Parts: sequence; structure tokens; C-alpha cells
Amino acid sequence: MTSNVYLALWIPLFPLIAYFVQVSVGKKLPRMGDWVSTGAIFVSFLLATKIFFSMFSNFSPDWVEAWSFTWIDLGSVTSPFKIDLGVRIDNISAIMLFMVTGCSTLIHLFSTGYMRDHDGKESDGYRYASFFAYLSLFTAAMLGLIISDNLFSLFMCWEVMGLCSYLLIGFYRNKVSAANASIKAFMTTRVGDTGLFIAMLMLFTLPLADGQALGSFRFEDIYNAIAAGRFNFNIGAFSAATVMGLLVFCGTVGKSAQFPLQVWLPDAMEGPTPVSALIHAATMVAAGVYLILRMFPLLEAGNVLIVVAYVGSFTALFAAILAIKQNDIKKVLAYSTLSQLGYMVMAIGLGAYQASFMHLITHALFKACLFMSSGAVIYAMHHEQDMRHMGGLKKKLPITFACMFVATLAISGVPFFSGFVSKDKILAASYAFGVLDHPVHFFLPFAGFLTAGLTSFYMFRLIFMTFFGKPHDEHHYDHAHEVPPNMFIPLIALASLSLAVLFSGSLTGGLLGHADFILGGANNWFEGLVTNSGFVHGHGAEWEEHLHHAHIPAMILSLIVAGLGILSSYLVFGSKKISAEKLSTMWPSFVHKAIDNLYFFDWFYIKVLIQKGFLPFSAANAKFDDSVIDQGAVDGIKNITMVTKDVAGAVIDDAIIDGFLVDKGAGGVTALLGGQLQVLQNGRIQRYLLVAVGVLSLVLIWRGL
Amino acid sequence: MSLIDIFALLSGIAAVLTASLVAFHPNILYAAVALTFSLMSVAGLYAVLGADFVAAAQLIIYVGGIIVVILFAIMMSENIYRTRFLDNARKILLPLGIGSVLFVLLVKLIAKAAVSIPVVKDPIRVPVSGPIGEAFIHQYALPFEYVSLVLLIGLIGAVVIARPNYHEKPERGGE
Amino acid sequence: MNIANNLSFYLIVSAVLFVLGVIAALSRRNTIGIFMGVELILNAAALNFVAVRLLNQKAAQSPVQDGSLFALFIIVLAAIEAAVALAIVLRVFAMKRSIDPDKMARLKG
Repeated sequence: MTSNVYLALWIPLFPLIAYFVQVSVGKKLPRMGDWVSTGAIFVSFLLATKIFFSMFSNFSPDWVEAWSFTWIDLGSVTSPFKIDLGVRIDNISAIMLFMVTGCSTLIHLFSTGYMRDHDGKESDGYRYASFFAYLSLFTAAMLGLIISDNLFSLFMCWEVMGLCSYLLIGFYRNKVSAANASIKAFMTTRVGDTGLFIAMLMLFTLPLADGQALGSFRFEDIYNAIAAGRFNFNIGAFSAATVMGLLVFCGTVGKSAQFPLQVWLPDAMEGPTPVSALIHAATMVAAGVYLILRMFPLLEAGNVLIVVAYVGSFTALFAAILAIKQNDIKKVLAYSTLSQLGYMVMAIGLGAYQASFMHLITHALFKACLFMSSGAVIYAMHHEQDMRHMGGLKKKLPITFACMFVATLAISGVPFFSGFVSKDKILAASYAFGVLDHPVHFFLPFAGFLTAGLTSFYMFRLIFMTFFGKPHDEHHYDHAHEVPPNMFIPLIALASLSLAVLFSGSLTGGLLGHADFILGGANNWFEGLVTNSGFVHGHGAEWEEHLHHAHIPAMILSLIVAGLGILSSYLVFGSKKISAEKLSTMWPSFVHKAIDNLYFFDWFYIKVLIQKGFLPFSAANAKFDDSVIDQGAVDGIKNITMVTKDVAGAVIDDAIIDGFLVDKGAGGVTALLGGQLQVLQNGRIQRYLLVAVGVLSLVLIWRGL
Repeated sequence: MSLIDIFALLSGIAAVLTASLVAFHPNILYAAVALTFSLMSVAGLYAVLGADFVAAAQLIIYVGGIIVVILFAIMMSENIYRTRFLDNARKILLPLGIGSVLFVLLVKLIAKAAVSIPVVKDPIRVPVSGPIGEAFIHQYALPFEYVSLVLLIGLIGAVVIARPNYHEKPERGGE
Repeated sequence: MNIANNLSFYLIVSAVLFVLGVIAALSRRNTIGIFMGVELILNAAALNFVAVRLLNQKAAQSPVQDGSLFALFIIVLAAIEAAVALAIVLRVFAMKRSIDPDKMARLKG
């Protein structure tokens, strides 16, 4: 076990220990133990930093440190059954660990302010301790997922995260909407998880092309098997890799809320805002992207990347459209999260996994910042979330405004900010793929660029409605005040991490050439690190060529759409030159209807699928169970048994056994003896003693005295 | 008949007489007091037998301790004082008869033993305290420890049993 | 007349104490009376031990004072018995308002 692996093992353990401390004694600790969780994740952050920098000392795309042990070994020589668990630290996981621990530390810190009332009391009593317990458990699971070298422990952590998500969405459990949202999130992701689990079982047990089952969940073994062509066989009409790849992708669709399982994520905003920042924007939803990143070779071998790309682009575009009409500040961010996750998934589908991973990291940082800024606004406005009641808050919340503005620039893809770098790479890939490579797939770049424009439009709408203009609610406005330091320090930290220079090695993401002042000239260090030589994407040299050519036009196009988005947003919501009402009446009513009803997905799932499909099906099953199995089979057997019982009972048992043998035989003898002997056993100790002494005398006489 | 013989005879007679009071006196309190004297007489017999330490222990533990406990028990349970227990002649006859038979048999046994088993004509009475002390730390160390353990357990048990249980209602009249 | 050195004398006294103890244990109508009878029986046994150790030829050759030791053990055990018996008596009295042994027949087999 190398020292980095050893450190990595400790990283999830600290939050886990904090969880157990919080669950057992959290309520009794001073400040209800928020410092336990925060301190634990901070220690993990320090360890992750150490790993992160040791990654730089081994600056190589193939840097891997791994360690595994056999957890379960039940097989024999002929039929092995063995599950190995282990730790795998490579560039991807090192960067993820750094990002997750960092984000999580800041969000823990933010929560120590947000989850308290304005008078400094823990809101909701002892639930304050539970909140930090859940946060710790969640962080432990997320970190465990990152360091896993196999699908099995990844899946375990995956499910624990699902549980924590459920617990935290429903944290305000007195709110009916929160309780419903938590159930919805849990059940919806369960659909995807089922697919992932089936894929895991197939991977583990199905005999592969060479007749041998893989018998392992380790990524390393899966990669090797794919490289050796062992997945070149068919399940039914489809290639095995296609089936498994699609099933794995199901897990991502559930966890990362992709089309068509996107319905849960907006509702998940019922949870406390730090939770939205940590789980439903920065980390957990990104775990789905992380999964397909890990399983990229399988997806590629199965030729399912194009499906992935379309799902991602659909999600990106339609979520962005929904975001425009939202008035709840957190809902806007929720749809923007959906949209950005769609970007990541689309990038993976395009084979640009480096860009996707980069966007995962940059998005996590600026989206955490956005969410926490919105949390600060909500906190300052005394839990008012409707943007129509805000406005003019720039003066009241200068620090929050500055941080949120930086993050908004980042998400809109403005140069000098991180979102520009990563989004530009994704757009370039879509341009190369959909315009230069396969014009048939023109939808992908179209959706990508349109979404980029819409993103800057609705994000600046949020900024203008919240921070500019006149206050719409004087009462709230007068009471608003800047948040305490433990809440704005995380904002500043995350906002400063949204600068492009950290990710590209150049200030502008290559717009004005590369500057060599960072990392000894390692331009584009990020891409260099993540380009795994084990991942070969099958587009060939032509694709590389196109990607190179696509860079400049894609960048110019993305700048144009982002600028248009910002400009139109300013005209509509900033200077009000164009009336928003007039703009919205331009569209036919069915568009509004579709958007207001979230494209009828909820309606379809609940009214059609569940109420017309599952419920009648369940009812029919129940009826079958009741009438055929219960009343037919079980009651039939019961009737036979009853008859047998009556015959056997009356004749054999009553007459022969009870009446004759027991009553007359054993019972009679016993009763006779008992009647005689009970005189001796009357409970009077003196009588007993008398008998004893009498017998002693008799014995002495008998012995001849 | 020397002085020691007279003392032995008197002690023996006193022990027997007071013991018969224990057995037959209708008043339990008198019986308890008679038991005191019976035990003191037996202590005298121990002294005659040269078992000085046992005699002292008999006085201290029995007369000083156990009798007090018995009297305490009598006082603690009301209506004992008023109990005249020989109201039922049938109850005493059978024990008396069996006791007499037993006594006759024991006397026959003793008489038989007296002629067949050799006795010491002139016993040397040495003080036993020292040898007993040595025996307790040498050959009899383990039994000694056992007895102390039993004593401890018995005392704890007594405390546990006697501690009142307030959830329990007194049963009126018994069965 | 040799009484102090006569084993039979002690044995007879002990036999009388034993029989009287038995009679008391058999006939007393309350538990403490039974208990006093048992004390008499124990005393009779202890007296036998001490007397035999001194006066029996074979027993007198023993290197340790067995008789006194056994008598002491009996006394100690009698003390324990007294303590436990008192506790039981008090308990039973608290429950039944009586310590008639015939009324303590709940555990009869």
C-alpha cells in the first residue's frame, strides 16, 4: 500500500467517524457538534491536498496508485466467486477528491451559519446535529465512491448517497412538499440504480466471449477485458457491451437527473440550500458523470456514446428553456444544474471526456458558489425565495453580490472565468462532431450553442432581478443585511476558484495564447492529466484534426451567443427596454403550457405511468394474490387440512389417544398414584421432616439397633 | 467426683433441661431465652472438653449474635408473642413419639459404641486456640476461605431477601 | 465417678439435645421455633465433634484440632443460617402477616 493510498483510505474515514460521533453524542456537544463534522472534512481536505500535490510531482496521464484486497471469497477452483475491494488513486480521483473535500469543507462552514437562525440559535432544535451527521455521512460516501477501484463499493457508496440525499431533501420534514420531494427523488433515482445494478450483475456473472465470466467488479479488469475483446458477443439482438453500457448509463440518468429521469432534481431544492449546493449541484449529481467517465471504455465499446450525447443535449437544452420561466431563485439554479449536467453527459457522448471532467470540476465550484450565494440571499431575506420579491439587494449584500456575479460570469462562459474554458471545449467538440464530422448530428452543436446563449440569458435574469432594480418588498429589503463571515468566506473562496487561470494555464483559456507562468509551462495541465492513454476513442485522427479546426470558430460562436444572451437579458430585465410580458406573449400558448407543466413529465409519470400503469397492475397483482393464491390455493389447502383435522381429531386423537391411552391409561395411573402420594407432598415442611426422622428411625431399627 | 466432673454434670443437666424448655415451652419468647441458657451450658461442656476457643466462640457468636437475631426476629414479627403453640395435642404427640424412638435408638447406639470403641482414659487438655489458628492458615486454609465466602454470600442474600419490595402487596390471610 | 472424661456422657447429652431439637423442629407452630430446634441439632453435632476429638483414642491422635475446627465451622454456618432465616422470616411475615410454616406451602410440589 503506497502512502497515497493509505491517505486516501483515511479521507472517507474522517467524515464517517464524524457521522458516528454526531449520531451518538452530537446533541450533547457544544454547538451541537457542527465543528466535529466540519473539522473532520477539513482534515480530509488536507489529506486530499497532499494527494493532489503528489499527483503533480508525478505529472503523467498514467499515474495510478492502487491497492486491493479480497473481501469475499466463496468460490472453489472450478467456480470462483471472489469480490475484491480496493482503492484506486489516479489523476481523475485525485482531482475529484480535492474538489469534493474542498467544496464540502466550505459548504460545511457555510452551513454553520445558514442552519442557524438569525439570533444564532440552532434552528429546528436537535435537527441541527442530525443535519451535520447526514452531511458527514454523505461526504464519506462520496469520497468512498471516488476512491473505489471497483463498481461494487462504488455502488454501495452510490446508494448511501441516495439515502443521504433522501434524508436531506426531506430535512424540513414538517413541510409536505419536502417530504414528497424526498420520496420522489429516492424513487426516481432508484429506477436508474436498478439499471446500474443489473449491469453490474451482468458484468460479473455473464460468460464473456471466451466463455469465462469476468468475476470481478474492478475497473482495471473491466478495461483489460474490453481491450482484449472479451465483450464482443451478443445478448439477443444487441451487442453485450451495448446492453451493459446502456444499463450503466441508466444509473447516470437517474443520479445526474438526465432526460427522462430529470424530474426529481428541481424538487430536490426543497432541501436546505447548503444541501442543494453540496449534493444537488456540486457532488452527488456529478457522481453520475463520474460513473460514465469511469466506464467510458465500456460505453465506447458498446457504441452507446451517441445515445449518451443525445440524452445530454436534450437535457441541456430543455432544462435551460425551463430555467427562463422560473421565479424561485433556487429553481433557476436547479434547472441550470440540469442543463450543465446535460453538457457534461453530452461531452462524454462526444468522446470529449477531458472536457466533460473539466466542466464537472469547474461547474461544481461555480455552482456551489451560486447556490450558496442564493442561500445567503435567502438567509438575508428571511427565507424568501421568490425573485419577484427581491431586487436592489446589491447595496445590502455587496460581498454576496460580488461572489455571485463572478460565478454567473463563469457559468455564462465569459472569458477569464472557468466556465469559459470548460464549456468552450465541450462546444468545440460538439462543433467538430456535429458540423465537421457528421453533419447528420447537427442537433448536438445546435443544442449546445443555444443552451449557452440561454444560460447567460437566464443567469443574468437572476442577477438583474435579485440585485438590481428597485426593491419589490420593502419589508424584507429593510431587514436584509450582509451575512456573517462564516457564510461569506466560502463564497469568496469559491468565487476565486472560478477564475480560468487555475484550469487552463492561461488567463483566457487559450483566447490570447498560453501563458507559461503556471506549472512550469504545462499548458492545459488539466487536459494533459486527464487524457488517459487507456481510453481510446474511436473517432480517429480525422476527429483530432476536426477538433483542432473547431477550436477557433466554436470559441467565437460561443462568445457571440453568450454575449447575445447577456445583452438581451440586460435589455429585458436590466434596463427594461423590452417588455418581458410582450416577449412572453410572443410565444404560442402551448409552449407556455408545456413549460409551466415541465413538459408534462410529472403528469406522465404520476397520472399515466403510476396511476394508469403501475397502480392497476399492482391492484391486479393484489387481486390475483388475494383471489387465486390466498383464497384458492392457501384456503384450499386449509380446507383439506380442516377436514383431515376433524377426522383425525375426532377419531384418532379424541377417542384413541386422548380417551383411551391418555385418560384411561397414563392419566388414570398417574391420577391414582398422585391421589395417594399427594398426602406426602402437601407443602408442610414439618411433615416432611417428620417423615425423614421416622424413616431414619426405621432404618436404624432395621439395621438391628 | 472432682470439681470438673461436677461442673460437667451440671452443665449437661442444664443443657438438657433448658433444651426441653426450648422444645416444649408454649411461649416462643421463653423458649428463645431458654435456648440462650442451653447454648451457654453447651459452651460449658466445651470448656470441660478443653476446647477453650470453641467455648468462647460459642458464647460470642451464639449467645451474643444468633440469639439476638432470633429475639429480633421474634420481636419483628408481631403476634408471635401471643402465640400459644401447644393448643393442639395431636401435633405434639407424633413428634414426641418419633423423638422418643429416635432417642432410644441413639442410646442403644451409644451403649454399643461405648463397649466396642476404645477411649482415652486420661486425656491431656491443651489450649486449642494456637493450633486452631495454625490450622486455619495451613491445612484448613481453603475451607476457611470457603466459609468466609459463604458468609459473605449469605449476608448479601439476607440483605437482598429482607429488603422490602414496595410493589408487592401483602397477602391477607395466606392460603 | 468419672464424668468429665466419659465419652458416653457427652454423647448422651448430645443425643438428648438432638432429639429435643428434632421435636422442636417437628412440633413448633412457627418458623422461629423450627429454627431454634435446628440450632439445638447443630449444637448437638458440634458437641459430638469436640468430645470425640478429645476422648476417642483414634481421633485423639490427629495432629490438628479437628473437633474444634468443625465446631467452629458449624458455629459460623449457624450464624449465616440465622441471618438468612431472619431475612426469610421477615419477608414471609411481610407477605403473609404470619410465619406459620404450614401457611408457607405455596411452593409445594
